[in-house]
Amino acid sequence: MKPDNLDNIRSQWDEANASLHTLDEENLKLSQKVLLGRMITARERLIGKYRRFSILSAIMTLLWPLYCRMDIFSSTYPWVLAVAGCIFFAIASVTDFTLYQGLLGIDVATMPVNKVATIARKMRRRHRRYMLFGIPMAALMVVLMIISLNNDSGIGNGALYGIFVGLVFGAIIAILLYKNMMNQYRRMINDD
Amino acid sequence: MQTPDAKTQTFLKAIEDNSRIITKVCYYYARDPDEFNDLRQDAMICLWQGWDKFKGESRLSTWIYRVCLNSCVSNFRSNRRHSESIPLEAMAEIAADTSDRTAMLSHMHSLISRLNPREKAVILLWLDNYPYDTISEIMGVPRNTIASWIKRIKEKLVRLSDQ
Repeated sequence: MKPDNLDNIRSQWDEANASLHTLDEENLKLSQKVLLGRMITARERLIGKYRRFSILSAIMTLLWPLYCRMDIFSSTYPWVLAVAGCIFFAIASVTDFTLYQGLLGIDVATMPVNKVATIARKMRRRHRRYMLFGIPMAALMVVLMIISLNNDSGIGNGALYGIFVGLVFGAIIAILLYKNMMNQYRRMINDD
Repeated sequence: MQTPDAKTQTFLKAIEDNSRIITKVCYYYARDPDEFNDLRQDAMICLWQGWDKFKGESRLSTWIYRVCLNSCVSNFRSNRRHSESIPLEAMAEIAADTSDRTAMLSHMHSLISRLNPREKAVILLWLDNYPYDTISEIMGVPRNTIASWIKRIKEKLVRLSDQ
């Protein structure tokens, strides 16, 4: 294609898109549906998710040290686990909060497109960076938990098998979520 | 301030009059029919939520165009799988239309889909024959920047087309 072709396409653009407008009739029905119910956008759903995770992580920061005092952990390493956990959950809470605030700041009705695109791109990149940090941290937490397990606490083989099964299921879910996220990131990278 | 009924009626009339803009913008930002429907729904929600913020500083169609673009560029796709086996063209009667414009439409969609969200916005506005001043106002960047962006995007489209 040559640049002149684009100018030709521009002159025929309305005509080229004429067949698209068979989809227009759905718009009125959709707008009536929007008026009827409390519908939210994908961005608002994500804002809600970040807010919930931020609150949850903040709560975990406070509860984690208490959890580490349980008998299932040996007396040797729980303080390492407690500190690592507090740092992990505190960072997670702050990062989710900054993402929540960032997305909340987007006003599609009044902002110019370039500003919205810049903020959206910044949030996507920030999320990606946090995940690059967060996933290894989470893996380290799991390793520390395994190391800290107290074989003398009398929790029994049944509980240990339960922990192992939980670990396997957790790992499967984590791998699936990670693959899903990587697919999303690939699309985000292409968009950027 | 409008009464709720008057506001609803005005909104519905505006959607009806500017339906083409909503369809076109969402079509060029979507990769498949599911995403097209999601984008269109989100655009509609954004238009309704922002309806009271339109103060008449620009034409209504220009405002609707900007909100649709903003909704699409800030769309954070959900994790669920989209049905990529159904091509987007199958949604409209494009598949039944055998004229050359169908080939042009499909070709342009595949080229535009490879631009980033900002580039898509600029090129769609340019293809719709909006003057540079209006594009500059919608995008929120100086006119000279728009001119330079359009030149670069056109070169990129030519390069992509030749690949």
